[in-house]
Amino acid sequence: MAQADIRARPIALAVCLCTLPHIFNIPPWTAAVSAGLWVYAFFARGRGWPFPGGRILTVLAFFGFAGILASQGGGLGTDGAVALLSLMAALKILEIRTHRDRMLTLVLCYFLIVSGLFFSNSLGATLYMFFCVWCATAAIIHVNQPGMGARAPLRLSGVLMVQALPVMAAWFLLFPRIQGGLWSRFFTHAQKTGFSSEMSPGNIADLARNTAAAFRVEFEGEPPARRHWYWRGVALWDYDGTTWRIGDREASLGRRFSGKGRAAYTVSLEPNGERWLFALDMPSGVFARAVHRDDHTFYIRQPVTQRLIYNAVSYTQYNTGPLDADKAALALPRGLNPKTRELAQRLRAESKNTDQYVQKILAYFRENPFYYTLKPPLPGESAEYRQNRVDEFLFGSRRGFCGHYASAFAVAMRAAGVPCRVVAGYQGGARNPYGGHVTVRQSDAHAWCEVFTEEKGWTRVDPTAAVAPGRILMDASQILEAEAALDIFRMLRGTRMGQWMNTAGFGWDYINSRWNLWVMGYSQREQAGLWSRLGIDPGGIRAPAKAMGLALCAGAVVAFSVALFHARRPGTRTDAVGRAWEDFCGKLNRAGLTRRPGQGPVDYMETVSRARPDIAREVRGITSIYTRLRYGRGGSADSERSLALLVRRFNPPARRRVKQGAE
Amino acid sequence: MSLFTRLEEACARREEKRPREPLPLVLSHRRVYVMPTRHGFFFFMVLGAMLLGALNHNNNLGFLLVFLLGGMAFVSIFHTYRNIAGISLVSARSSPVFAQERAQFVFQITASGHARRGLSLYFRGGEKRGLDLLPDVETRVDVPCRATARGRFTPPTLVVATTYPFGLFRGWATTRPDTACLVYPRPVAGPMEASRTFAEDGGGGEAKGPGVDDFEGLLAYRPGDPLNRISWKAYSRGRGLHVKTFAGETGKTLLFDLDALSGHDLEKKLSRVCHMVLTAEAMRLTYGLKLGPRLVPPDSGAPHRRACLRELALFGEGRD
Repeated sequence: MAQADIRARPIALAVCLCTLPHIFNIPPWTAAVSAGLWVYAFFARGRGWPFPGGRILTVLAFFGFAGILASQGGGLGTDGAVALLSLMAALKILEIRTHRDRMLTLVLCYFLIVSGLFFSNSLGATLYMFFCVWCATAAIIHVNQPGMGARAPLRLSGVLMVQALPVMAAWFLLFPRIQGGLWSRFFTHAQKTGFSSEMSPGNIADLARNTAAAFRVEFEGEPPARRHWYWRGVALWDYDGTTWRIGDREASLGRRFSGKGRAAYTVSLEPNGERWLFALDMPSGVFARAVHRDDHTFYIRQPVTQRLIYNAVSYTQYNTGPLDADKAALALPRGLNPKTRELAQRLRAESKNTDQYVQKILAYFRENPFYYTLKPPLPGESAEYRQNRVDEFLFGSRRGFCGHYASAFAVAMRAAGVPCRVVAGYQGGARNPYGGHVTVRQSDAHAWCEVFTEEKGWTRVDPTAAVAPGRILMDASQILEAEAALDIFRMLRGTRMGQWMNTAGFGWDYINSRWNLWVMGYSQREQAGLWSRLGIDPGGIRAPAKAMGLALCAGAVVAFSVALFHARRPGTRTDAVGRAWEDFCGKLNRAGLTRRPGQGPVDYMETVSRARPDIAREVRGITSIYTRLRYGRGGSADSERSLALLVRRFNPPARRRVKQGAE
Repeated sequence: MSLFTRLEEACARREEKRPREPLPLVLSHRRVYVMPTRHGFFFFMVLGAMLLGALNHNNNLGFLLVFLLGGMAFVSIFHTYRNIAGISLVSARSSPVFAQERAQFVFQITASGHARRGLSLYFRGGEKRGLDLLPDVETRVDVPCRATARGRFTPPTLVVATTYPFGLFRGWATTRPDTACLVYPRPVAGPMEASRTFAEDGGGGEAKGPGVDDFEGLLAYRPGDPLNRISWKAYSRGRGLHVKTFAGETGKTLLFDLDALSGHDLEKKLSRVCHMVLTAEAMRLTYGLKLGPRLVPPDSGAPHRRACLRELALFGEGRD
């Protein structure tokens, strides 16, 4: 049994801080075991608990590895790798014997911090990572200079970090990026949040509870009116009775169309594990390496695992032109929803044209007791509705949200021979009062329909608006709010606290959007611009080498000037004793008793005592403590403190009184 | 690791050719070298792996963190450098030692401007001494070094090194301070062979070994007196430490003649004479030395002993 190491505590703390953000990404048992190990390592020294020997640790490490492999199903994905790293770091704290072990563990900490980027690169996560770097670095300083105490390493670590920031900025801007990466990306985001390329009742309602940002949009100039904020994701063509799917459509170069009301904007899409890009209705082009489908939707070949920034152009008024013989827009599962078909055929026969028919269906929604709710009743199992979900919705429950309405509307259209498709995406968003950008959240997920008419081409029809026009003007979170009896936001609404939270929320979102756009969105394109401004031809073969050289030089210059500045700073005495003595001399100086340059403390004391007998006692006392601390055997922290206290209280009266005393 | 040792050896060989420098001496910024430690190399390997990952994933957060860590390591070089530059060696002292013993060189060191932390001082190949320096305060540090041979021992290169602040870089400055330590021969026990006494008879008769039969009296103990002569009886009575003296010891004057000793190995003979001097002094005899042409007139006491040992230490060396 080895003795616990006194320096294990800061290391245990550093490992703990660096692992914390992973705690929900790794298997729960790994997190629990790691936490147990930290606590053990932290308290073992003080309580005299034994530290396990090398053999026990090897066995533990082996079982940990096997356990993680087993819980990951044999493979080692990102989660598994991070879980392994966390567990090994936690075990390593118990194994610390030598300086080498300490350094190894702390370098491992840095690895843990950086591996956090596989889970999140939001501004909050970034700030936390910087905080971890600060702490881990302080631990490294402590390990190397154990005599420095607890606070000085934190301070020094902060100083070094601040000094490194300009170097970091220079390297970050200039270091050449490689388009597409070096080799295939070996892991991807495990989570698939938010949007899905299928629509079956339920998945949008789930999203409504997710207030995470889906994407942010920055318009060039004024954004179009809010009623146009339909963010197109996928067009759904195939319906099997429960689920709408994108269907098997050919990728084409897209369709040209004529339009008015041009809007150009930049989208910064949060990673969602899907491949669809979102654009305002109706997009004419998206400038990313995207495939343009003939239903005016876009996708990229790799799932979006990192924030993706792209530009797009849309027209709010448009005519998509004629329809190709498209049977997919009319297909319905055979024999389902007989009552809907009957209704559709009756209403179609009553109307003169397609437009009138559309209005009749919408009127049907409006005039019958339909309710917009995110908590629709569960599908009934009665024989009548088991297969016929649309019949159940239109004639039975009449409660649902956008997915139900869009689905029912599209079925009604197709049943009457009107080409129709469902479009899934987002609707609405919040305009940030600071940045002017629009943040679209997962809770803004929406589905609507598009109906084809010869004159207008594909036209958007939002059946939900017929039932809940407010849905178009307020977002789903507000609807949820209205439904929740005890909602914290509702309770706070209107209060000053609520307003403050609202303001803070917008501010934070603004900072996030800037950060995402300027820092996280910095890419080869922006870099090329910077290079050419610096006189490096971005197309040149030697450009990366030149930029790298420039980056190193810039870093060196910055670091050197920082160090020079640091060195030139006057009065860099860091010890309390020296500071106290300087204060003391300063006070005497103000009282007209200046120390000659190079005059020793004892000599100075004699001079002062002779000139000012009234303060001689105090001066003698302070000087004797100072000389004992400085030139003698040194002293305890107590005598340093008493010196500081005496100096603080020392207040030599001005010369006038002395003269009186002398006379 | 072998790379480091080889580098260090190469440095040492080069340094041996440099002239010795008189103190006081400032370790100016031009003398300071900084190299990564092996932890530093490990750190850079990890950093390189992270950079590759960031490049591959084109992840800006990865770049940011890697460059932050790299930047901190980079800035730390200057801190390492500043921790050494500006240190001055004010003086060095040393007390004589016997050969094979550890010589202690006492340095007075001061640093200008700001405090220095985690310094280590050592003679190349010797033991390390750690210290921290407060700004403008003279600090004393004893640096040991094994003195191998008799004579005037000049220590090897002095290294002032630090791994402040992270242990990822090691900064060092070297100097060959112009200081020396007197090394006496290693005392080797043997029979007392005084070639002649300075007594009246003046004959060449061999001095007898120290008589232990004729107890004469007690003398106050002085450091260096042989322990077996301590009168424990007197000590137990609470009279303090005393040394027994014996008749036949005092009053006799011995002369140790190097040439009179048998054997060919000069160093061995000097070692034996050294031992004789120590014994004679311990017994408070009056003794003198004859080392070839040099003669130390007989006397006794600590200064005389020192003078004799000095003669022995410097025998055969060009003096003055």
